[in-house]
Amino acid sequence: MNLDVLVGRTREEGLLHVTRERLRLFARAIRQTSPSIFTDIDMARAAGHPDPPVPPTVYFTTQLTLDDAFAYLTDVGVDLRTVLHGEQEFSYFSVAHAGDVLSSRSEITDQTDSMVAELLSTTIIRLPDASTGSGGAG
Amino acid sequence: MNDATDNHDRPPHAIDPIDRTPLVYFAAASDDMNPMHYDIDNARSAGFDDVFAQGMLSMAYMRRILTDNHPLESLRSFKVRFMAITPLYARPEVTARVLPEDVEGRNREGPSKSATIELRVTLEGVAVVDDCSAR
Repeated sequence: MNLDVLVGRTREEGLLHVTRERLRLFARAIRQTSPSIFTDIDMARAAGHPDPPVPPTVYFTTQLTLDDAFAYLTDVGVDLRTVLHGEQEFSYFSVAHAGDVLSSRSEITDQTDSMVAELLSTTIIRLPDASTGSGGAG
Repeated sequence: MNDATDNHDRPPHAIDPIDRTPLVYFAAASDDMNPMHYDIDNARSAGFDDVFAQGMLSMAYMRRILTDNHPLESLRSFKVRFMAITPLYARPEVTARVLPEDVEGRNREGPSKSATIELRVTLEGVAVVDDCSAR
């Protein structure tokens, strides 16, 4: 399959309202049952955070909250059962916390014909109704 | 909390066998609704024997060993390559090792004050952390 057609396209903006409940669910998913700064408000504040911080891999969820997060692939005929996650990279500029609203914008920057791979560059920012700064990118 | 440039390897972090329950929790927590990770019919239709774990679940296990040992603010980057799928009932073991040089090849004993940590589960990854104790 030739995915050249995807290069340069941008995905719909993804929005993630980070809640304490979602961070607790994440902790449960990795069986982190003992209290941590990611789930316990007192521990978070003792560590200098206004609210539980977003764990460093959770930022990728900003791209998945759309009703049909992979429409950009299925629209060009990709069978999602054949899709595997190859690599993931985050660069961090600041830490987001429960209560923040994160916005993600993704652009498909490249694709490799032989492996039918695509490179997706995503910038995630904290929307300005919260404090200033930016979140992670992946 | 360790100095980022502390050269001791971290003790391996053993994960309980990954049964179906964490896969469902992780799908809900992450909004990753790819049925390959919880719907056996879907997995079989694609030629797999059963569902398998989300790659990002393994990255989350790696993250835990990082944030257990380093302040969150010290993490500069975190990158993984997913080398193979993680089958159901796998017992991943996460290991972390501080590399002698940072990602740009500079020796950590110089002024760079950051360290590169090599992590392994069923995937390979590296993370860069600042040495917060030097601030």
